[in-house]
Amino acid sequence: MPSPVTLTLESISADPEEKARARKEAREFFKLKVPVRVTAPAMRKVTKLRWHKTLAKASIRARAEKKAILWIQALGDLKGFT
Amino acid sequence: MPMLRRDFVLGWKNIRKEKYVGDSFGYSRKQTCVGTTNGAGGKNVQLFILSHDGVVIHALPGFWHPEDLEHELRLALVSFLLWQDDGRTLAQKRRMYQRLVLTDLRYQSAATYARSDWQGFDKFHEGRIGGGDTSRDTFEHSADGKRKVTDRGAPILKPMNVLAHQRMAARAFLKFEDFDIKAFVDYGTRFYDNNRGISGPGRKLK
Repeated sequence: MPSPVTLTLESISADPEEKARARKEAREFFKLKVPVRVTAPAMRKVTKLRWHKTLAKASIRARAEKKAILWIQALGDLKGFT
Repeated sequence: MPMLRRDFVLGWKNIRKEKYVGDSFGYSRKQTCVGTTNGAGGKNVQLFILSHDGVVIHALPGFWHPEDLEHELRLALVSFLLWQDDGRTLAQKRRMYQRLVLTDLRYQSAATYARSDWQGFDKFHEGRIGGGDTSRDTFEHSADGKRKVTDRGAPILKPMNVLAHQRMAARAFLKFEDFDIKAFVDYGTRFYDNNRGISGPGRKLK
């Protein structure tokens, strides 16, 4: 799809300071290491949520509750390895 | 977290046997988490927002920064309202969705763009395989089909947020079974061991 406007970090902001700040924060985020003692409480909350294993069952519940489905496809198990 | 509980029905599928996936099983949820770029690992992780009648409302390849993910999920909820609007035809809904996701890119923050850079190995791979292929949508093209280049003459790779939204605009409100996941996640390399060994070496890629 040819795009009439080139959308990049360079073009999205005219403010050099904002771009430099965004780059710096992104670099810091890429280096981030969060130990398991910090992530474990959030992991427990996520894994305690009701995760459907089949799309058919999720669809039945979504229809009943008038909600959208967040369907995650990943290499690995929710409670194990990825 | 409240958004996941409040606004979505959740589901998870292990795609280990799909043909487009790479390799992993080197990481446990009991290991240290590390930051990464938006869209990293697109072949191994995909997030779909679906309607109960099996239509893809929105989709994202790979991992996303929490702030960007929240933004995309909010965009998906707006798109879900559009999909449910009985007063519009399918063609109208598709046009509106395309406008929505493409316009959204112009209002995303510089921070989002900075977080949507490519992984170095994916960038290298894309440059190699896309060297002679001017039709590849991972690069910016001008109206005459030529690649756009930087001031230094380097081809411009689209940031991941741009690539994901443009690919979704081309797949507006498709049925899930008609959604070509392999093409949607076709960027970068399929195999690369990016395990930094922070919590041990993990399993080596074969």
